[in-house]
Amino acid sequence: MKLQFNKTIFLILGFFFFSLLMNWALAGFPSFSEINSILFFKPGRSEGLISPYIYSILILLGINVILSVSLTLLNGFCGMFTMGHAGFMAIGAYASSSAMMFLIPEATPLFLKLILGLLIGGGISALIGFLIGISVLRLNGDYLGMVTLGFGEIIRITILNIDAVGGARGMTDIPQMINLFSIMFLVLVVVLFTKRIRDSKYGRTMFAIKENELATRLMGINPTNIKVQTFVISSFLAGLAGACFAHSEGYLSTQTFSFVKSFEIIAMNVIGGLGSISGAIIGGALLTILPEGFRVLQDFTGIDLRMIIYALTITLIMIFLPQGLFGSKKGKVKEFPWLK
Amino acid sequence: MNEFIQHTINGLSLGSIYALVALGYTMVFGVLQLINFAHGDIFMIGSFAGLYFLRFLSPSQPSVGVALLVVLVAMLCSGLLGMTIEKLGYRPMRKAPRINILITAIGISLFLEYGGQLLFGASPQFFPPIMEKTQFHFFGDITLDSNQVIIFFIACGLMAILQFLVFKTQFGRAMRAISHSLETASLIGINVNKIIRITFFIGSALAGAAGVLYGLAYPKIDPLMGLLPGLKAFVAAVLGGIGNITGAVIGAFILGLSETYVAGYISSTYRDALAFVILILVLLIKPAGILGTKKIEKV
Repeated sequence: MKLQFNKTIFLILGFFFFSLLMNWALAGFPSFSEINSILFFKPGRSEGLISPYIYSILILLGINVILSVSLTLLNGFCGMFTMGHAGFMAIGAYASSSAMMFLIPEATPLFLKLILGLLIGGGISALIGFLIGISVLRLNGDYLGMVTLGFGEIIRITILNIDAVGGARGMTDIPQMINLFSIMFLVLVVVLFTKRIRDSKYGRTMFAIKENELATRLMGINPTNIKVQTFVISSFLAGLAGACFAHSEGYLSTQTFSFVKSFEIIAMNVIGGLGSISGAIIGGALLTILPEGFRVLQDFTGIDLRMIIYALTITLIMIFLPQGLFGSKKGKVKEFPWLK
Repeated sequence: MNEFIQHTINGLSLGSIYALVALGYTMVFGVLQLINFAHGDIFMIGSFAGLYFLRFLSPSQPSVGVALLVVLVAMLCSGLLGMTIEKLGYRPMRKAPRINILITAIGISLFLEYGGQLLFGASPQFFPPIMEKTQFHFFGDITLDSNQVIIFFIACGLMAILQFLVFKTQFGRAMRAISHSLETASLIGINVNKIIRITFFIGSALAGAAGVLYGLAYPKIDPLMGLLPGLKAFVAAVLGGIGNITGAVIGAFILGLSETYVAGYISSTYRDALAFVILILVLLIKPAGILGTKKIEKV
């Protein structure tokens, strides 16, 4: 039997080692005792090339890229306009952290704990995404946006009223398990997964629904089915990102997951160019770096102009570059060569 | 029973504030099919404009005249702000996809919030009482605040003026024509840009008035105060049928009343969730809202 090199597997393996080395180089090599703790799923430390601050920004960047790519499935591929993505992120974050605190025994190996946490976070988010999806997806356009906005806020307020997860005080002491390596690896898996979906027959159906739902129905495809499935996948990925967020910050407050966060995710998508995976990646990265980058400016001016410039930048990009960075007027989006 | 009447009084006063904000949402949606998410922040700016004008006046004797003057100044400031936003932000985007306009609206909203934090400071400020506060007591324990009466009457007066403007004047007719079809309206010689500008002015001015009234009712204002009332007023507009002016007022009163009932009888922590529950129920049962008409998709 001939050995076949699958390009994707090759890419994933290569990236696995690359990001592992990257993490070591940036955050310091693990000591001998840490090598024993399985696969070094430890939060970053400070003796590496970059400061802990930049390290944490890079992790946040990864999380935002996952969020942005997950929304691309709905918004970019399927043309479903949702404004409640932060709600699913909240579900993932809280589900995973509560599982860590109340369900999974302390002695479980770190590696297994992380995988379980991510799966529980994504899974519960997907389940709720399914329940919401079947009830709302017969709506279209703006109305779908409004109703998902409502659900996102209801999720947040419900969590705010659950005392077991901290309520208004926020949830503290969540085990920190995400490092740069795991987040980079997850980003790659999510991006490749999305690319495979886009190129499959299933992805073509999504684009058909985006172009014309009625025509798709006439072709003998049930658009509602496809839409519910996409909604579930997207909320799974958003939950995954939420779980990553919880395990990298170690602290959760419902304030993080308000509709402002949902809008931020939409902005990442639109700035990158709707429907382009590369655009979603770049948009997510840009909107993470921009507000942090303006911190330098604060040293000159003395006042916090950061968020003002950030808001202005978003507005100006929209006015002068309405197609986004990776979009084009004819409706065909650009992609990185390796994502084509 | 007394408790119920008390909640109704509070609900009507809250509802009239929501109604003023909701009108702006619904008017802008009517002409441009745009959800103006910066509207809540225009409401905030109106409130601060009122506060600073009041400090500038520093009236020795609180009176109804001063209150009306403050409301007028706040309306003017908000209205001009709304017009500027339309001119700089929304006009260049008129042919762009809807989602882009939405992001622009969010960008402007963030800009106003953080700009407000820079300008006014992030901590809440006390809104001084413009009016001598007298309380009337009925049937033992029902309290009617003079502020509540004034809020209700100023709001109703403004709504009556708006009703006149929209249904009895040339401008109103042009505005309604645009909300039917922008292209056709421009073909029959309506100056679309001018009408849209005036619509923004009126909608924002109403929000500014609501900002001052909000300051009267809940005398603590901060640059992020517009977020939640703005969102709730939006829900009210959807509830009544977005794009429909009478519907927005009805929706706002329903929302204000049900919110005070929930806060009074169930729990005040769920009062913010209520608006969204209403939003979802309306959209699932009758997406066009109470007074809206359903549009049939044609091929």
